[in-house]
Amino acid sequence: MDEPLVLKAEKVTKHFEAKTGLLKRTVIRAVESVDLELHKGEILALVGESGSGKTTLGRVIAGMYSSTNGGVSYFGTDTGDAPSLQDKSTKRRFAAQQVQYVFQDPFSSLPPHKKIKSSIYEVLKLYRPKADAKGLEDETKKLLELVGLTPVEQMKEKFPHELSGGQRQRVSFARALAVRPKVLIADEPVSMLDVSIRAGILELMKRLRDGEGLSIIYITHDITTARVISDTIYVLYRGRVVEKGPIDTVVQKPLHPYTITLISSLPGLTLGSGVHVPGRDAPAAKDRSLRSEPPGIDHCVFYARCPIAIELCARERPALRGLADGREVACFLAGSETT
Amino acid sequence: MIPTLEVSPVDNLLEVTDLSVGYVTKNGLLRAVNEVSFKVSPGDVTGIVGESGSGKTSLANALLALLRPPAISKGRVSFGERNVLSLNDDELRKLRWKELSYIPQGSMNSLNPVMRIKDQFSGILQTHLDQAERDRTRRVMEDSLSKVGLDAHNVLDAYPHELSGGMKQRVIIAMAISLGPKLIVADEPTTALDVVTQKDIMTMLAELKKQMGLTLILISHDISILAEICNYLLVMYAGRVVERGRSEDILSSPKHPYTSGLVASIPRLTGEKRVAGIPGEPPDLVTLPTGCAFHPRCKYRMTACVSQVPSSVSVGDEREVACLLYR
Repeated sequence: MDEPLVLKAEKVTKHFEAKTGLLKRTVIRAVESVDLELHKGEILALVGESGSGKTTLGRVIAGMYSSTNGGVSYFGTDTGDAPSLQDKSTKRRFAAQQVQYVFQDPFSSLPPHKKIKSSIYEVLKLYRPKADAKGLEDETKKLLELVGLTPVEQMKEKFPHELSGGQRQRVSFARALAVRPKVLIADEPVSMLDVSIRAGILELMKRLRDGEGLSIIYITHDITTARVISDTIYVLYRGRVVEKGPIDTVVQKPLHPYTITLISSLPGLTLGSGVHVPGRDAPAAKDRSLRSEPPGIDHCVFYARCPIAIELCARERPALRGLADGREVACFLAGSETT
Repeated sequence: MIPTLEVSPVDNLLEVTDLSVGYVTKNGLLRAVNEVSFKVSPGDVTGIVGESGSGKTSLANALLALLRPPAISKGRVSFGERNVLSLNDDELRKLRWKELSYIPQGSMNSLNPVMRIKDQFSGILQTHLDQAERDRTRRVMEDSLSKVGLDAHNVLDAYPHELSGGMKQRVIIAMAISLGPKLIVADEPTTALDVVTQKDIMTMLAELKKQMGLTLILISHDISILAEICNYLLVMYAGRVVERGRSEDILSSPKHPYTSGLVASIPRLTGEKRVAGIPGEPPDLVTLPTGCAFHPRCKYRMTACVSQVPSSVSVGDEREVACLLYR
């Protein structure tokens, strides 16, 4: 990718502590040492099933969670020790202007008692203290137009409950864009919408990238919609990246057994022909627990579910290694016999 | 073929005739289901597909007589010789779970959070098993759980929050099959689950159908999931069935413009990187568009579509479509 970097995550780790008894605490390792690079105008898909850590990683990048280890730099500025960011609220605001977050549930992420125009206007006002009311109103309309909520004059007077799920999700995008961020993190923005409505939101994300030069991190469990709009894919499993690379390379020929599992679980209709999926009909693995393993045990994160695990996988954790086709995969066996 | 099924004088297990469901709202009558008729034969897997607000869930609720005021329903739901809509509470209680089971939408959240699985599960069985059979309760629970791939020892003593989404969905399915019902209606059984679990649940339903000779009605907004296991599909739009037929026929050559839109919205892993989608939004069911309710979103709209409600016409073997293009 020739475009400049907008964001770089290095060795990002996020642990949560959970009370599991009166005095007992368990560490949940949501994200483990993830490196991620996002370029200008790139759509990057973070894919994995529930509990894989994709949302936690997104929230660390958005500055909503602080990382346990590692850090995220935006344009080379580390959020942690930039000199002007002494107090917490300026730091939050700085992060917000870099990265905006669009949530999964359009039914609960908008203030229900506010008209659409005021919920956007207020965001604008917060970030453009010098602009006058007229200018802000014009910009509100422009934003609604941009996300396809037309006719604007009617839409801006509505309350969230008068809108459909797809329209509400468009309002969420408009609110996020009001801050003029460089990066948008869209966390399952279409998973609660009807299949027939999803296309419009996916198109919108593509248009924002093409027209506004935004970089987008698209968090999803659905590899098919990821393929439609993304350039790059990161596949997460139990908090670790198991495979990453150009999306077509990975989707057309997945190499990590977990990526293969994800793709082979898709309904037959979406698969089409020409996708090389070994073991599509292999029996589903039983162990689905996402509980963290005790520290000190170093084996492949996918070991317990892997259909092709060898003895080495139980002793050593495979690191991501680059292959000739531009992808990286964390599996001892991947690419050894078939490439 | 099906050991649990008694010989019945009618061929159809379920016959729905002119079923309408409405809700009385302050803005007027909301017509959720409009004169829907269809039949289900034993062993069928019928899929009902449509966007949110197309009336799928209201239809399912009507099939099980679960509607409560302000909902009103009209028409006939014949299950064997009985009309489900005219049964009293006592008769319904005997019917539910034992002959007709329901897996509601978001059913993993329908378990009682403060009761152990075994207590909720045995509650259902106690209602239906005779005094003499009650000592079988434990065994029936273990059998049903093992059929859905769960280990009874781990699950029965657990509280719902100790189980994953997929496991909770399996528990609900185990309850639904435990008394060997003739028909199971499942509303969006996999919608909140991720793809891997989704596939497991669908594979399991297909397996159970084969083993136990179940008859299923599955409801979803995602036609690609239904296509995996359904042999018949009903496509609903704004409360009406706009197309019906064998699923392979519908998927290979959708006739109604709405069905074509649904089939085209399936994102695929190969080929062109485009998702087509259907422009516009589903209509408001209180103020339905005149004529064909789909006409404001339809690219083949003709003048007649604005004034005339299309009736279903036969367009081939077991194939019907309600669109003026096929008059």
